[in-house]
Order: sequence, then C-alpha cells, then structure tokens
Amino acid sequence: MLMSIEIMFNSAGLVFIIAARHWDQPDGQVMFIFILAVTAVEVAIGLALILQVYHHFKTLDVDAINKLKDDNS
Amino acid sequence: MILVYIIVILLAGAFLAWISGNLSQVWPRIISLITLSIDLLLIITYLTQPTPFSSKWMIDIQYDWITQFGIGIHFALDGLSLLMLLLTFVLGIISVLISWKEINVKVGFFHFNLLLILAGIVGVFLSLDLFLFYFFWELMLVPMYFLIGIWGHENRTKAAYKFFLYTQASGLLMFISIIALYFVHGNSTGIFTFDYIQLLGTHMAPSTAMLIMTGFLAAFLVKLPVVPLHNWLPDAHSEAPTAGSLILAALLLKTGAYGLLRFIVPLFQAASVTFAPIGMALGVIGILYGAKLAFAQTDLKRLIAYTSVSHMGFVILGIFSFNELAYQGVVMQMIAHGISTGALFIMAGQLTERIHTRDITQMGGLWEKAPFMGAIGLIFSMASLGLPGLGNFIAELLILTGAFKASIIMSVLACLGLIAATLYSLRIMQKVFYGKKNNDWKMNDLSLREKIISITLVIIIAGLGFYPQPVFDIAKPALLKTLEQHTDKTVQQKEPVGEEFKLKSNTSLYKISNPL
Amino acid sequence: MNTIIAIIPALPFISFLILVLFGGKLSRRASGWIGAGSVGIAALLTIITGISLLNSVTGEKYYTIILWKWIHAANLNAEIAFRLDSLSLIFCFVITFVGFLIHIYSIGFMEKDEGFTRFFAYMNLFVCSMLILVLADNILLMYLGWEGVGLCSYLLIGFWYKEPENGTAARKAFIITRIGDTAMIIGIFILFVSFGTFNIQDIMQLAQAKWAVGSSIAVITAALLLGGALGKSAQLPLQTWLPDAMAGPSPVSALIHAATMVTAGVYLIARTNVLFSLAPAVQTVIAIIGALTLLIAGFSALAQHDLKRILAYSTISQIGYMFLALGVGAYSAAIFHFMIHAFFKALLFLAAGVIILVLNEEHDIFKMGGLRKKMPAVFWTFLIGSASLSALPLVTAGFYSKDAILWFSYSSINGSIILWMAGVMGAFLTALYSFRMIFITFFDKTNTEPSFKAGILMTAPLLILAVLSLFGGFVELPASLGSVHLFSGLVNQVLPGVVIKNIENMEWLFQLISAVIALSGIYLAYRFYYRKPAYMETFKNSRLNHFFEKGFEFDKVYDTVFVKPVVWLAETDKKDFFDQLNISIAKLALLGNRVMSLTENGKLRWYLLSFAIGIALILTLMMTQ
Repeated sequence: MLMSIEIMFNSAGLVFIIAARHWDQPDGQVMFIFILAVTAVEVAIGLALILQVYHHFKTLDVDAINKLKDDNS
Repeated sequence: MILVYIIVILLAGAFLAWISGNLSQVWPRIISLITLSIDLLLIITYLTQPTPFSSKWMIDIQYDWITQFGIGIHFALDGLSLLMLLLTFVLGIISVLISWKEINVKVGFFHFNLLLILAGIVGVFLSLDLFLFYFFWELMLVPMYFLIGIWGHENRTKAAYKFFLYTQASGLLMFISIIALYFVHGNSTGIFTFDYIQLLGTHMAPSTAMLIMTGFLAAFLVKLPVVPLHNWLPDAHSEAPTAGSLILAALLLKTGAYGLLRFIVPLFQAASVTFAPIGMALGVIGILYGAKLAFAQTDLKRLIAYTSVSHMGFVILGIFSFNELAYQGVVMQMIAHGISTGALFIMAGQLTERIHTRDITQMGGLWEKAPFMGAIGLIFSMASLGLPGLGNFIAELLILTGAFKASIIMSVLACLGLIAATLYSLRIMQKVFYGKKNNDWKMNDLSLREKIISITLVIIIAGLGFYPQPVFDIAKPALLKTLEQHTDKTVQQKEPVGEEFKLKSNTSLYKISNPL
Repeated sequence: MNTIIAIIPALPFISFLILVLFGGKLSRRASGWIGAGSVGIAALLTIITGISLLNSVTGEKYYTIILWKWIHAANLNAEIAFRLDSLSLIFCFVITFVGFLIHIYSIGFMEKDEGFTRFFAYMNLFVCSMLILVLADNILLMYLGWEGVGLCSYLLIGFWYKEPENGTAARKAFIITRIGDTAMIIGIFILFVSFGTFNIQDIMQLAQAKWAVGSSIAVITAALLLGGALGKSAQLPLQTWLPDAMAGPSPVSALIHAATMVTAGVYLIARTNVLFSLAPAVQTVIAIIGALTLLIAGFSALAQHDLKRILAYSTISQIGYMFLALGVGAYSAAIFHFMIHAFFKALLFLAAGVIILVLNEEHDIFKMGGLRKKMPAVFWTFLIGSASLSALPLVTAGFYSKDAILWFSYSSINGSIILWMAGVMGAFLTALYSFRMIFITFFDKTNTEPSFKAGILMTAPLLILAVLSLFGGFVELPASLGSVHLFSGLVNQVLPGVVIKNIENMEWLFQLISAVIALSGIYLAYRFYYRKPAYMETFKNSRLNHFFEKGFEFDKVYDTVFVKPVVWLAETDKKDFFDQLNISIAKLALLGNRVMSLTENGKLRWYLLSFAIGIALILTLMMTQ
C-alpha cells in the first residue's frame, strides 16, 4: 500500500514537471520538491502506524483491520 | 384559572409522588389519591352549573405564550370536556386503588408516570390552542411507554415500542397538519395563529382540506383505534400492568374520539362529509373484525383488548353520522365503554394477580372459588354485549339509530356486531367462570378494597343504563355547538389573501408570504 | 290503582336485590320464601288489579303509570312507563300465578342444591323482566324486558355450571335468540325513524294512518319483528335451542321454556297486530310457519326418549298452534291457548321434574316404567296434563283452546283447509306422543325404583295446576256447546276479533272430527306402546326414527352452514393479518439496515475506493453544471 502511495506521489510530481516544462514556469519543479518532502514525512508516519498495526493485529493484511465493521446478527 | 390549577396540581402531585417514593412505598399511593381527589372535587362543582348556550363555553381562559408564532395558552371547558374530565378523575382514582398491591417496584416513579399521563389527558381535553394540544398529546406518550415497559408483563418491551412508534408517528403527521393549517389560515387571512376558535372556518381548497384532515385523522384513527391501524392495542393492553390497561382502554382511546369530535368535525366541514362513507365503513369493519378477533383469543386481556376495537367502531360510526342523536350516543359510549371495559380489565388483573396466568384455556369453573368476582364478570360481560339496563345499550342504541338516519346499510351491518358481541362475551364467562376446573388453584375471592372498586363501577354502569339523562343534558349544548360549527356556512366567506399557486401535483396551495 | 301496576314487577326485583346482597347471610328457608313470596304477592296484586279492571265502568279499560324519564336525547324520547290492559293482565296473571306455584315447587325441588339462593335470585329477576316485557308502554322498554328474559334464560339453563354441556346449551339459547333480537331491534329502528316515537299505542295509530296495506316498509318491519318473535318462541327456523335448554332444572323448564318466555313472541305479535294486518303477506307466513313447526316438532317428539325433550318438542309444537292462530287472525284463540297451555305444560314439566328427581336423575323413559302404583299423585296429575295436551274432548281445558284454533284455522277468512289439516294432523301426533309418554313411563314393569316420596311443596302445585288444566277452559265455550265468551270478550277489548267465513253452523262437524282424531291417537298409542308389537322395535331402530329424533337434523345443518365457518374464520386469522402487514414494515426496515450495513464492512480499501469514486462524481457534476 505504501508503495502505491509512492507511485501516486511520484506520478503527480511528474505531471507537475511536465506541465512546468510545457508552460515554461519554474513553479512545477518547486512543487515537485514539496512533494518529495511530503512523501518523506508521510513515509515516516506511515511506517510508524504500520508498526503499531502489526503490534496490535499481528498481520499487515488491511482487510483484517475491520473492527469498525457493522456487526448485526 | 381553575383549569390551569387542575393540571398544575397533577404535575405537582406527580413530582411529590416520585420524591416520596424514596421514603416508603405507601406515600406515593396516598399522594396520588389525594391529588386526584382534589381535582375531582374541583371539577364536580361544575356539574351543577348549566351551560348557557349562547356563551358556548362553561369556562374559557386565555394567556399569551409565544406570541411571535401565535401560540397561546387557551383552555376551555364545555359539557363534553366536563364529562371526559369526570371520567378521567374517577378512573384515575380507581387505577391508583387497583395498583395498591400490584405495583411493588419503583412505586414512586410509577405514580409519577401515572399522574403525568393523567395530566396529559386532562390537557388534551382542555386545550383549545393547537400547539398546546399537540404538546399534551405527546405528553401522554412517554410516561405510558415507561408504564408498559417497566411494570408490564413478559412481552412488555415489544408492546411498549409498538405503542410508542404507532402513536408517535401518527402524532407527527398531525403536527405537520397543524403547521399546514397554521400557514393556510395565515395566508388566507393574514393572521398566523394556532388558536382553535380563530382557525374555525378557515377557507381551504377542497384538496388542501382533505390533505390536512388526513394528517389529523392519522393521529385520531390510530388512537381510537380503527382497523387497520389498531395493531398496537392488543399488545399494549395485554402487556401493560392493570392500571396501565385501565388508563389505556378507558381514557387514552377516548382522546381519539374527542379529537374527532372537537377538531375534525368543526374544522373540516366539507372534507369530513366527503370522508364520511369511508369513516362509517371503517367503523363497521372495526366492529365486525374486532369481534371476530376477540372471539378467537386465548389470552384474556388480549380478548378484552379486541373488544375495545369493536366498541370503538361504534364511536367512529356515530361520529360520521353527523346528527345529534348519534353524537349523544358517542358520548355515552365513551363513558360506558370506559367503565365496562375498564372493569373487565380490572377483573382480568385481579385474576392474574391470583393465578399468574392470562390463558383462558387454563381457567374454568372459577365461579366456585370466587363467586363475587364471577358476578362482577357476568355484569360487565353483559354490559359488553349491550344488554339493556346497562349503559352500553343506551350508547349503542343511540348510535345505531343515529347512523340509521344517515345510512341504513351501515347501521344494519353494525347490528350484526350485536350478535358477534354475544359470541365473545359469553366466551369470557364460559371459559373463565363456568365449565370444568382445569386447574385447582387456591384463590381468594375479592378483598374489601377490590369489592368497593367493583361495586362502584357496577353502580355507575347500572345508573347510566337506567338514568342516563344527566349525561345527555350536560353534553347537549356542546354537541349542538359542534354540529353548528360543522354546518356553519357564513364563516366560509373570508376572502383569500394572496394569489393561488398550483403545485405540480395540481394541489392548490396559497402562496406562502413571509410569515414573520 | 295505577301505582299498583308499578309495584307488580318491582316486588320480584326487590326480592332479587335482597337475595343477591344478603343471600349469603339468610337461611335457606328465608331465601326460598322471600323468593316465592314476592311472586306470590305480585300474583295477588295482579288479581286485585284484574278485578278492578273488569269492574271499571269508564270507557278506556287500562291503567298506566310513568315512573321516570328514561332517555331524552335529541328527538328520541322513552320513559319507564307501564300500561296494563286486558292482554297484559292475562299475561301477568299467568306469569305471577303459575310462577308462584313454580317457586313454591322449587323450594322443595332445589332443597339439596348448593346454589339455592342463586337460583331464586335468577328466577326472581326473570319474573321481573317478563313482567316488564308485558307491562311496557313503549317498545324500547319491552326490548329491555325481552333481553332481560334472554339473560335469565341463559343463567338458568347453565345453572349447574360445572357441566360444560349445560354452558353450551345456555350459550346456544342466548345466541340464537340474540339473532332474532337483532332483527327485532332493526324493526324498532325503522318504526322510530318513521314515526318518531317508541310508544306502542302511538305507533299502532300512526302506522294505521300512514302506511298502506301491503306496502314494502310495512312488510319489512313486520318481518323483522317476526324474526324476533321466532327466536324467542323457538319456531322455525330458530327452534333448535329449546330441546337443548332442557339442561336446566325442571322448574326453569316449566316457567321459562313452557309458560312464559317462549310465549313472548306470541305477546309481541298480538301487541303489534296492527303492523301485521298491514302486511298480510307476513301474516300468512306466520300461519305457515306455525303449521310447519307444529308438524315437525310433533314428529320429533314422537322419537325422543328423554322425558323432558319430549315435553320440549311438545312446547315448540303447541306454540306452533298459537302462531297458526295469530296467522289467521284468531288472536283471542291464540291467547286462550297460551293460558291453558301454560297450565298443563307447567304441570307436565313439574311432574316430570318430580319423576326425574325421585329416580335419581334418570331422564330416559325407557328406563322408567311402572310408576303408576309407585307415585299415584304424580301419575294422576301427569295423566290430566297429558289429556289436556291431547285435547281430550269435553272434559279438559285443552280441548276448548285447541279446538278453537283448529276451527278458526279453517273458518277464518285468512284460513284454509290445508292449515286445518296440518292442525288436525298435529293433534293426532300430540295425542300419540303424549300417551306414548304415559304408557312407557307409568305402565309395565318398574325399571328404576323411586328413592323417596315427594313432599307437599312439590305435590300441591301439581294438584292446583291439574285442576286448572281441567276446568280452566270453561271460560270460553264455542257456540255449539254453550257459547260462553268470557275470555274472548276480555281479550277483544284490545285485540281485533277474528273474521270468519259464513260457515258457522258447520262448527260441530269440525269439532267432531278433531275429537275423533284425538281419541284415535290415544287408542293407537295404546296399541303401539302398551301392547308393544314387534314392528315397534324395528321402527325404533329405523333411519326415519333417527331423523325424527335429531329434530329433522336442523342442528347438523346449522352446524355446517353457520357454526363451523364462523369458528374457522375466527381461528385462521387469529394473529390478525393486519399485524403481519405492519410487522412487515418493521421487517423491511431491518432489511434495509442489513443491506446498508454491507457498506460498513470495516475494510479500509473499500472506504478509500468509495472516497475516490465520490470525489470523481462530485468533480464531474461540478464541471458539467
């Protein structure tokens, strides 16, 4: 899951670079640096959360984290 | 002022009872008894005063409350409300007396709820401001829910929910109608008010009137109850404690009938006439279907509950006959049914206290053990089937004769209900008191307290059967006034203000100008 | 004198109240004598009033009193008011006098019963209600008495409540009579809505003035009132309750189901005779019903083996004669037969009660026998009663009353030869089954021994009624035998006289024929039931006999057509399908919940996906609007 988020951010950054190149603005490249910073932060927090999840649920399967499920009988 | 005092005394008594419940179990009962007796004495003083026809109301008090919305406190007493209040207080006292030994848990809270319900009922009978009326209508609801849910029998939770949902939902429909009426009246005359007297004769297009009336009807038909909206009644009546059943059957059902007489008939002159054939048909269906269901039950209280459905069918038959004779019968039926069905529920409660079952297939031959109870059961079963000499006969006679003038076929079909009533009433006697003993219980006959209650009710019902004239005299001006308001054409001439605005569904609705 | 007529029904009512409130504290003797005494004093007052009425010289021969205003709502007015004229007087006399004798008898009969006080309370309430019925000034008060006697009949049939069959019989009686009562109340509505009053005299006058003869409204109203009469008097098609009503104690059968309540229908038709004369079609129907009933009941009586059931069917049959007389317009003959029938039928029931009690509750006549020597008083009084029932010529009162009906059934302008033949056939059957009863019960060898001798309390009423059954008829002798018209003179003050064809001189012929028929019936009974040839045994086991015994299988038909469908209808929908409808709404809501909760499955990816789809949708919408 974290990998897909990386790919999404990187692709968004690529779009910014290409758009900057198209309209000759340096803002796109600035955005890309922002995105890199955000990605780094997000990975840090995400990894911390994943560690906690593993500690609690003993698995990394996202589908197993369904305590909010509507449990009507 | 006395009308406000009556309600305030009830509310004060309710709180006192709750608090004193922490002291001992006896104090709440005594406090309730005293409260209700004071109120009964206050209202008895009005029995002897004649109602002058011209002034129309015996007492009429009005205060401002929320003037921006046109809501005021408007209480009024006329013959009809007086009779209903008398019934309320007498049966209220009796309900306190019968729960003397039956309720042993949370006695203070029980009497708190009891007095609140009675306060709500009294408010319903007295309010002439529609908002206030709705306030008291809803006030009757929640304490009754608690009464059934806490002190009831095995299936009490389900019964309490059902009662609450039916009554609340229909009450909300009525609220929408009240607001709609408020706006329609405001748009046509420029005055935005909830006051009943001013709302009489509101000019409404026929389809609007029909829609608004349907909202009111929803609430009253559920309360009355009318087939097919009657299903809350058997469950609520059979699972409630005896006092709860008594108040439900004897008083709460009458608020529905009262609403029909007080609001539907005068406010919706043409629409009620259009609805009349359906109303009468529903009445006849109620009489016959209710009797059929009563005949098949094996739970004693459920059987008696269905007989209530049957008897109330007569009420709606009478109301939609639109003549004074039928209306006198309706009033008499409200009182007589309250007494007779109330007494039957009391008897069922006394029986359940002794043998801890309501299943009539387990009973039988109980006359031998409890002849006094048997005799009381006999008298009220006979009242239930409309034996002359007891109040119910007078009521049914007047309703059937009045309905005969309005629609012969409906009246004849309703007469079949007399035969059906015989079937279920005799079934009660046969299964409970006569026949072979199925179980040899050790049970006592009625105690002195219970005997006093039963004899009082017998005297009232026999008195109504042989000397009903006082009831008719008190109710007459009120009923004539209702009929006069129903047919009054002069009030229709108020010109509409604002242009007509047609909705997509082709309903005509007056353009809503700024209400504030 | 006017106030006395209010006291007459009040006395039994006060006695009822005393017995109900204080019965537990009174001794048996006391409650018995209070119960009987109140009726006795009422009888005395009736006789005094009657003498005063007969001797009064002023034009209108009636007494009235208004007690209080009962209902005065809108335009509906009814008072508690009584009116005594000659018709009411005759009925009051029978009710109180025969009632008094039966009450005396009951003190002895119910001696050992634990419900002694309750019995007298119910009996007094009955006498009060019946008196209200016949004394009522307006038809609504009459309806009160009408239903009151129905209630007391129910209570007294089911008196021994511990046996469920008695309760079933009681309910059957109440329900069938209630069907008739409902027809009657609809008729009362029509009368009120047409004339605005309940007062009987006013209604009769207004009906005469406003309704045309044979008009549909008159026919419908008369038919409805007839329905009520048929129910109470156990005539076709509502006759099935009376044989089962024999489950009650014998005094009850004597008072209610022989002498008084079942004749309430006769009273109603006589009282409202103007309506029936305005609807000749209905009057013909009355005659036909009377004729058919008397035949069917007569055949049924022939096949019964329970002593009281024979008498029950006999009662149905004799009331059929009264209806026949009413139908042809012979009102005084009908009332005369009512009075004489009350005497001998009460006698027969009371005597039967003694037999059953003394033989330890044996009801089957084939288990009796030979009681002629063992119980002579009962035998002779029973014989006199049966002779009167069979209309034994010249010596018994029954002859004069039944003969008058037979004569009028042919000679009245509404009469016909067919009606007469039915009546004669019925007379033959009556003689046959009465003496069958006598021969089987009292002759031959004793199968069950009497266990004790009946006391004076039970025997004295038998003797008095026997005397009346013999000599009571001499107040009304036909033209060919002396032409005494004391009775009809009295009745015709109130009721119209019978109009007959021009054949008065042939009366002796018809009397001769009916006398011969009666005697031959007795003779055949002797041949069949005393000599007992073999073919009687085969007949007894035959299908035809069984059909008669079951009362022409009316019970079975009613059971299939009415009872079973109603019970089925009640049972199938016991849970009330409307409830299912409303529960299904609740179930729908639950279903909705279940469906919606599928979206709340706790899966993170699912939630994210729905976010994404939602955003995409909203953006698309925003861009395209």
